[in-house]
Amino acid sequence: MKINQIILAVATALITFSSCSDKLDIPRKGVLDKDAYYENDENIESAVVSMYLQLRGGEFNSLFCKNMLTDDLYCAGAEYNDNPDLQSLNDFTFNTQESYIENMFTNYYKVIYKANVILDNVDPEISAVAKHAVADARVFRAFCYFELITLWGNPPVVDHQLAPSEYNVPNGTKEELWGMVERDLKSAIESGALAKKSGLNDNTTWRVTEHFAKSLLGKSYLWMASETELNDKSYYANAASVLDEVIDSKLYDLFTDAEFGDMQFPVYDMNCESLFESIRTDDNEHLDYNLAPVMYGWRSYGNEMTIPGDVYMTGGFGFCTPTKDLYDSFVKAGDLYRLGQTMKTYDEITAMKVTINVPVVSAGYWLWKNRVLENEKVAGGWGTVRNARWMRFAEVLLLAAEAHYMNGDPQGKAAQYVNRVRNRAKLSNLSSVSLSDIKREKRHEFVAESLRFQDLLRWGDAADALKENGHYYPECPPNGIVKMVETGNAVYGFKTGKHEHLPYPFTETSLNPNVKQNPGY
Amino acid sequence: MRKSLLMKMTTIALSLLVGWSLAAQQKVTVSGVVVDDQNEPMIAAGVVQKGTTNGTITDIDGNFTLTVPAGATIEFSSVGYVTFEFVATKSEDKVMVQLLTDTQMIEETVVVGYGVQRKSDVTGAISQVKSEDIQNRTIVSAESALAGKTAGVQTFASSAKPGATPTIRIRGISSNGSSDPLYVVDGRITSSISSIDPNDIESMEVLKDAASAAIYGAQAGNGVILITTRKGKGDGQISYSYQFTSQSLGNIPKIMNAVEYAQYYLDKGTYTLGEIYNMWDLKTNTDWIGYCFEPSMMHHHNLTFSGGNERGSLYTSVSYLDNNGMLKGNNDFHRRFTGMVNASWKFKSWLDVQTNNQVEYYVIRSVSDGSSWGSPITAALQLDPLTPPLYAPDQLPDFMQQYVNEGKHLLRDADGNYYSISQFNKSETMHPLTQLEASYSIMKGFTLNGSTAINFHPIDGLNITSRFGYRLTSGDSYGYTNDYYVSPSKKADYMSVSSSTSNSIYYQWENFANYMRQFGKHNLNAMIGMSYSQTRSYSTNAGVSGSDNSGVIDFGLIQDNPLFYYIAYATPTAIKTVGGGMETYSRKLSYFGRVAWNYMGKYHLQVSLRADAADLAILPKPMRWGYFPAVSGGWTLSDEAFFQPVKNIFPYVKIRASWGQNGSLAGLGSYMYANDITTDSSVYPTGAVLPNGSYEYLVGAAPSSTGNDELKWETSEQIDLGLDLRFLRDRLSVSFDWYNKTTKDLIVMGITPSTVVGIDASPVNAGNVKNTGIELEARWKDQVGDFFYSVSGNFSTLKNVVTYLHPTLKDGINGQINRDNMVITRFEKGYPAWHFYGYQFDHIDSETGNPVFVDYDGVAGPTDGDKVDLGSGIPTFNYGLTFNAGWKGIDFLVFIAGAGGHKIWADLYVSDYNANHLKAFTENRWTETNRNGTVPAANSTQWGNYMSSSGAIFKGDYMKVKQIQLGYTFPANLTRRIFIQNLRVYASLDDFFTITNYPGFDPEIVGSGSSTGVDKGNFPTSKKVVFGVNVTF
Repeated sequence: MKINQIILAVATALITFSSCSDKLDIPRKGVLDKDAYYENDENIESAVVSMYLQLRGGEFNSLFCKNMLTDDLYCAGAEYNDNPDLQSLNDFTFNTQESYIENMFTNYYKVIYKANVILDNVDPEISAVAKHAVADARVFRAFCYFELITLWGNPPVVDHQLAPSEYNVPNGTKEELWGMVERDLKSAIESGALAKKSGLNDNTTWRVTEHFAKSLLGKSYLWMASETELNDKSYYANAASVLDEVIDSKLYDLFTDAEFGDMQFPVYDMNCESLFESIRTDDNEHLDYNLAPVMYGWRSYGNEMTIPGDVYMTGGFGFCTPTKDLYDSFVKAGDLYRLGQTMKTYDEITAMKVTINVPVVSAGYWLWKNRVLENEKVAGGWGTVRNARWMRFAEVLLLAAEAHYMNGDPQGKAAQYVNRVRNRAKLSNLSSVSLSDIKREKRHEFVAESLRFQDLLRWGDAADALKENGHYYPECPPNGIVKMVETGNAVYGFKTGKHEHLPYPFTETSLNPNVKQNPGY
Repeated sequence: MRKSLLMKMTTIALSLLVGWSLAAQQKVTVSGVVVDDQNEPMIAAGVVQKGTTNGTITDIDGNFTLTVPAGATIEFSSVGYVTFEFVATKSEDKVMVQLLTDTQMIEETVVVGYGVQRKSDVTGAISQVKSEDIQNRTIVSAESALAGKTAGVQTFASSAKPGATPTIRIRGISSNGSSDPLYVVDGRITSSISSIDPNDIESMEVLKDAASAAIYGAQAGNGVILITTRKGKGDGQISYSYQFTSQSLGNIPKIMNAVEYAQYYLDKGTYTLGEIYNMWDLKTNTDWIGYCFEPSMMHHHNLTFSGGNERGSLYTSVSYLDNNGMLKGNNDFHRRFTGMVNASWKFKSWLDVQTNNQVEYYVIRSVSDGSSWGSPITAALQLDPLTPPLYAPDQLPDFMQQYVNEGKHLLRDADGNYYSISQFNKSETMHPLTQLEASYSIMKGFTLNGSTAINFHPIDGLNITSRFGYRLTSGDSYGYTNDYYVSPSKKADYMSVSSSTSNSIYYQWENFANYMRQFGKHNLNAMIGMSYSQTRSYSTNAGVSGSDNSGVIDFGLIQDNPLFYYIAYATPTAIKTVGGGMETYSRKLSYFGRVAWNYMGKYHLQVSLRADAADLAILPKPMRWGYFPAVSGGWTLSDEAFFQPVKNIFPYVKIRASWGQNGSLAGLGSYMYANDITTDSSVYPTGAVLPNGSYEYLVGAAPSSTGNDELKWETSEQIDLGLDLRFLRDRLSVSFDWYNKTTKDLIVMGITPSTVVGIDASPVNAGNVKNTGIELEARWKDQVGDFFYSVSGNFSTLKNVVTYLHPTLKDGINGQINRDNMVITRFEKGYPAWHFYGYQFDHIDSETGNPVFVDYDGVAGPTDGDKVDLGSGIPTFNYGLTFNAGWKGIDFLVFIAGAGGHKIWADLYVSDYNANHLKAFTENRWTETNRNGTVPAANSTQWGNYMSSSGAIFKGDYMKVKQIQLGYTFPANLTRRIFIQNLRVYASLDDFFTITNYPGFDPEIVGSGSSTGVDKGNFPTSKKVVFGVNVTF
């Protein structure tokens, strides 16, 4: 028996296999090493694109959430409380696990992370592309912080990619936070690397522009001036000055190619009034559709309303119907052209051969401005491909008017800017404007454009304007005789001392011991 | 025959001889009959001249004739009987030899990793499930065989639909990630044992303590289940068994009937009486559950051929399973063909070869379940009873007639009737059968696996094994979604078809040597070895879909005809998707060794160590190796001199203790620790149109996660103390264990440490979990005259608690989210893993009908500060009891299993869509006239909070009578005339009775993992009526 040989063979096999340790080094497919990545223009641009994609990914959630937090719109849907998550926003009964608030918060920090990746890894000196990327990253970070500060008050400052030992970032102070926003925007503007439109009708500039950065800076100054913690009214002058620069550039103007209510149609994407948009295409290969228009669409998902295709698409979920208070405000101001372009009444829609089959949640008004036509639907009727319009020139004009007014000049530029917006709405000139003129103008101009809640907070008007939210909801039966129904909420509406800020999401406070929850949650 | 210490069986014989005469000759001829202990003639019993090949077997009547030299010894033998010898000195006829079966306990062996051990030498905690616990049951998967049969093993099933397998947990939930045990089939390491027919299993050993499992090192942290498939034995046996099962819905939850539903929505204010009259004929009272489920059949055939002798054995079997699920029609089924070929041959005195091979082919069509958002199961619970399930074509309600007139594609049944569309719930919940008609998916595939081992025995005591294991799987899935119309928005105007194919090749090569030696009274057994394994996976998938492009419908397929429902017949403009085509590998390398020593069989000590290396997809290179040691000892007290006075009372007493460490990867893989750049799934348009007319897009890329270079193996450390007892003349055996298992460096993944970090965190080693419990297994076995009976039971307790979490996680990880978007389970320090979390419901406000919750933080309204621990979905105790009895040809079995001490979160109340509800949520509700109601008013705005509170939680205790079986074996002297050795018929009620207060479908079928104990409408276990036959030729 060849025992020794057998033992030798087995021993050899054992030893042979010890060298297969190398076989464990299986390379990862489809990825690149981070350390060497941010060294060429193509890769740097991919980091920038990722940031744009991240912002676009959160657009529906953020804009829709803010629209729910107003006195202009009822949550609506199929019935009261059709979507309890959204309804709680509209009624101001939301808690710390309200998903839209959580997603908005989370997505802004995801964008900030992607901006920080660029700021930490890209050396702006290596190329023009690198310099442009760094400037864009600063604008994006400032944009997200503007939203976080104005909605949450004192969010954690994250100005670089965090190491595990740094995860538990405490709340920031107003000085730190606004200081970072101001520094980022100024630095981006001063670098000269930001994109710039070539002329009024240039619709090819997909990157954030120098004038968007300036508009955002002006908007930030306007907020900073109103912050009691900062206690510095001179920011009004800063706001007026930087916003004037945007207006005086003549690269932007109010859109007049079509009716006011048609401006949101995809054919008017990137028009002369638009400061910055997240872009979508009607391309089946890359269908990243936007659900928002279907959410706003008149309630016909379950055939509650029958709507001719040339009036409005069918299949809408029926969220966001205008309040009577909003309608009355238009009527009182004689703002009838813009009213008709913003919403339609029961009589008007029935004249358009729309029928209501079962009672729907509406005060007898339906949004017209955001309307979607049947031929715009994509992805089986689940969405449309219109761009998200983050800021338009009318806002710049009204922000500038507010800045000038607050800086003590109600006649000059304040009136001039307000009148530009009024003229487009077929309203007459005012020789001098009051703060309430500016506020009313802004409300009427930007119905369902997600600005109202933050405006109310800045003006200190939120408690009064939103106190009745969630008390009643309107029910419009087929005959159009609207009935106000009590919701049954024991607690409802804006509560002073609590709703000045949104709650930090439960996921954040439950994971980060250093974040102090806002009062009242 | 080579002496094998391990396989040695001791037997005790008894014999009787009748008819004795004398003759003196050179050659003698002996003839007669061999009978068994029932005095029945024994067919094919061996009659051999000892030490020669001269022999014969008995014929069908037990007769034999053999001529041997005078003075030779004749051996009478048969499997399962005691061999009897006698010296033939003269020719004789009419000799009657009776072979007796053994009624005493025989020395059993258990399979351990890389070897076998005598049960008396075992120092760890090992439970065994033998083939008799598996045969003749309606279990389809081998995993299910463990439920209720062993202490310390819990099964969690999130679905009982055809083809679904339960999740096994050994000694609790030891990780926040995967807690699946490791399966080892005939030495082949695998993650799934579903390809094995339970009939082909000889035994299953559950290695529960760390010392037993440690030889499998890094993969053994959640326990190990060793499966030994059957080997050929006997002179050649052919067995056939057939089982027919009729299954129907067991526990039917109580939901509102038509009148109750109408009243509920009147109370809620959703409808006026007039509106309800308009939409309801006042007669219809649809039982949707009764309509959707129907009794269905399961057939199971199994044919085996088995034979063996001293040199080798052959076992081969084929089985066919056809399980049609309970949903109406052929919408859910599992068909499986399995085959097994096991063989061994001793080629030389120093070399033998064994091979075990299984093949499986399966076809599974299943439906979606376990989703509170929509599945045929939840639709059956939620649809209103006011709508009939079907409408004849001439009796359609107006709105449906209008759809038909408009040419909409309403779905119809085989008889041409239209599936109804509810007017109450039409926008969201689709008719369950419409859902089934609207989408179709089927999976098919085969598995080929097995292991082949060569054993060398070059010198006495040394055994060197080289074993190759393999598993080849190939599967494909095919599905389509049909066009249909339910409402203007719940519709599909086009079709989509998807198809995928995948295969994987796994192999392992293991080389190990066992050395056994006796030094005086010392016995030594040493083992050393290595293992290398690799898995290669490959898959591709493709899909086509039509589209609705600005109202222009692209149907997606060139013809609306099932013969064209394939990717090949897509329209040129259909949206096409492709994926896969990338091979992935995973590999492991391990070294291991074990030394066992005992002195006179009284004192036992065992030490083992395994070193495992992970590949780069799992752990970073510097953290690759993990070392897993174990030590265990045992003391057989009953063999001590001082014990002798009481030995007649306690013939066997042994105490055991063990300590060891095992590892776990907790589902790691795919380079989760890495911080690499990955490309975004979407592309970003610049808005520009290129010269060719297409849009310009840019690709984004960013780091995929934070990265963690310090990631290491999860380690579970366990102490086990055990006691084995036999007393009352060995009829009662008891085994008791206490254990304390701590899992350290828990790998936590899939969470963001804090949302402000802005990116998904790579997994971190971030916590500890402790499981403690006691386990008791007892068996009583006795015979009174012709009456045999045995009772075996097991009972185990489990206390599970998370003892530590890394500070970056503050104090908890959020788990399952309920339908109201609230976190309802948490992995939190100081509580059981994934314990329930929410508001503490206190009472119903008698004024408003709203629920009132306990206010812990003093802030008005239910707030985060009011959320508290609400219990756990992990049973704190489990038990099983099996009673077996036999009298003459009759056998009877009752098997009961249960669990308790836990809770179930019924996430089954859908507050919108006018859904129907469990009566538990409606029956005693607050109304103006029932102000003492215990559940909220129909129109309460607090339902979301109520369903996020203890109001949605019910006691989970249940006891199930899993099996009541009565069998009859025909007398052998009757069946033998038709060449049948054994013929048994039986009838059985399986899973027939459940005792529980839980109001949902099935308290045993609720979620696992982070949704442990959360019921989201899962496919329930059926109750079964079974008829079966077993024939052996």
